[in-house]
Amino acid sequence: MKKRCILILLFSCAVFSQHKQLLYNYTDIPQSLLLNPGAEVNYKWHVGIPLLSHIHASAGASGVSVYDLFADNGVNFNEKLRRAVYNLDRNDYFTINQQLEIISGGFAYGNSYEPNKYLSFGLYQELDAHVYYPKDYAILAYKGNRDNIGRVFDLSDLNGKAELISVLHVGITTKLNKKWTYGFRGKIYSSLLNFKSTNNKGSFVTTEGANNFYNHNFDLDLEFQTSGLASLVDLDNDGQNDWNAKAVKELRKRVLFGGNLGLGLDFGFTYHPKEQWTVTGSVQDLGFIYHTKDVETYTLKGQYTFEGVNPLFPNNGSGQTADEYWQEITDNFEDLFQLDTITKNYVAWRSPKLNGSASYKYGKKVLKECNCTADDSDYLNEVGLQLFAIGRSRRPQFSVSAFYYRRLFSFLSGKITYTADGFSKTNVGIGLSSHIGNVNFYIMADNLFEYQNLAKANYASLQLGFNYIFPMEKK
Amino acid sequence: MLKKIAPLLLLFLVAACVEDVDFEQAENISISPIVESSLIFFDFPASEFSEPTGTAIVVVGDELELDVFNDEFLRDNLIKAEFFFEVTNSIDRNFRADIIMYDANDQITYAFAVNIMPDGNNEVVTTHTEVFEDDLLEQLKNTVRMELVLSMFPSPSGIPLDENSIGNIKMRSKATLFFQIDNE
Repeated sequence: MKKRCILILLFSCAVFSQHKQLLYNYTDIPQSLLLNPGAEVNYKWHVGIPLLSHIHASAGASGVSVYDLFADNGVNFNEKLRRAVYNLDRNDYFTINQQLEIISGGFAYGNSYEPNKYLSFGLYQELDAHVYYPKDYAILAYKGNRDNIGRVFDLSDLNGKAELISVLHVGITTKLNKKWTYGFRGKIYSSLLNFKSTNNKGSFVTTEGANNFYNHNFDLDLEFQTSGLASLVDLDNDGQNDWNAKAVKELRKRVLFGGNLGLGLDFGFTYHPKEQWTVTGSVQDLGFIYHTKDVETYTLKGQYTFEGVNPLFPNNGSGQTADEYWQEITDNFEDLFQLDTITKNYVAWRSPKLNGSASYKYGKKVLKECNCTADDSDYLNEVGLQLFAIGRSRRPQFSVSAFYYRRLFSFLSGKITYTADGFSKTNVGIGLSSHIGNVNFYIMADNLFEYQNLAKANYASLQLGFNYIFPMEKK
Repeated sequence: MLKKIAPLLLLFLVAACVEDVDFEQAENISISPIVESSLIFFDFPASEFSEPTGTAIVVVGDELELDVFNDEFLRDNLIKAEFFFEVTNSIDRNFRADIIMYDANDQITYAFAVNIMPDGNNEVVTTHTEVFEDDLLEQLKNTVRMELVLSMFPSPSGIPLDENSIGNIKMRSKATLFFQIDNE
């Protein structure tokens, strides 16, 4: 059992989406600035503990869970597979997101008596993969065409992308007045590895034929773009281990400006219409990567209709034998399924994210000495709603969260969220942030209802990190 | 510091267990797609078989390289194949279609025939199903060349065929391939 827990943890770390509803606007934690550069800052400077300041991993599958497929419940695996193949929709998706902050830091500046600006910067690595369920391909492979005569298999069902990038960023947060704070963050992306196949078109269909039983119509227009891959494949090596080591070394070289480069922008704001009310909004990763180095695109393109072999024997006039006729068909098929490799630059847009929230703070701490509240102290509770959207190749994905934030002790605060999205309608998450001395530690996890049996969860995420935060002096 | 955090971390790690899940069942994966494909077809008018005596046997034939069945994927995963032929004859003669399969050494691996009867110039539909399983399937997988021979037999009444003779002989055919793709 122990072994299995670890395995699952790794699996869940290896698989999650980009939604960080627990971290969003959790202003005690400096990494909330990565989600909204216009978040409020209430410390003088901070440094992330290198490689430990932000570790995030998430994985999700809409429409199916590990449990659905692998439950040890006596149902035949192939029956569970059949259900998954048919029940999933072409817009169901699988997603993995992982981030690791390498370095980060920030400091307040501006007015010497009351700094109103905060500059934050860092370098992080991100892995993001998103693949739609290729339903028509799955059904064709699962069932074949015999029971699907007349069904048009849509080849655009193949749609996915994956990227491994590093992001160097610097942002400025400006507190305009008591009501308004806004900020921007510029990003330089360096792509270590990229795969993209999002513009596939075409179809395959078997119809009743005129001269023979069936016409098989192939109309292919498929494209698979890669960057950073060809050179890895071509590495000289003495076996798998040697290749792995060399590939990792090669990828590491690309972290700082070594790969294909791109630019991105984040911006956001915080607004208090009234003292206890907060409205925030932000846009992240409005940007692209231009792939020019080490690019290879594989294409499959062509149209062909096959209705069988017509042996034109007695004296057909064309002088063609069945063998020649067959040869022609074989050549046509070879042309059709000939994978062309071309070198073509391409632009890969990042998946932009939109965040928004509205919340209400209440309840100040009651002082024991006077049984009253201190006017200048912070509110202890906050409740609100958050909205998240991410642009994906077919259509944006949305989620809505309700949250409750509570300062538990002077050194500990917590946030609980309830989220409804494409994965589930019962996602409850908890985040905790502690400040002991100047060391901040936070940990957050999603889908707690499913935590007893993670396999049933469609989505799971975990993030944690350590920072050193130097607070503002109390005036 | 670490002491305070460790229990928290442990809580997350230990709580995240997975119950009643068996990944090994994936080893039993087996899918059974069934693929159908058009095969040979033709449509000849009686005039193609012109024969002035009315007593000759007319034999036409053709052959084609057919190495589809020894493709590695088919070798491993094809468990059964069915060839279905449908011949529609309105020529007032008996026909026989012979399908002969050869291996790489030009040895006949298997042969079968479809006998086609006439009913004057009325359309007669003859169907034939050839099933390849077990040993026969292995012979199909060894086939690299296929020959189709169509023989027309003399008219019982001795009437010759010329360009004005009426009737057609048509063939349609398809293959049904049964796959079993599993972990073995």
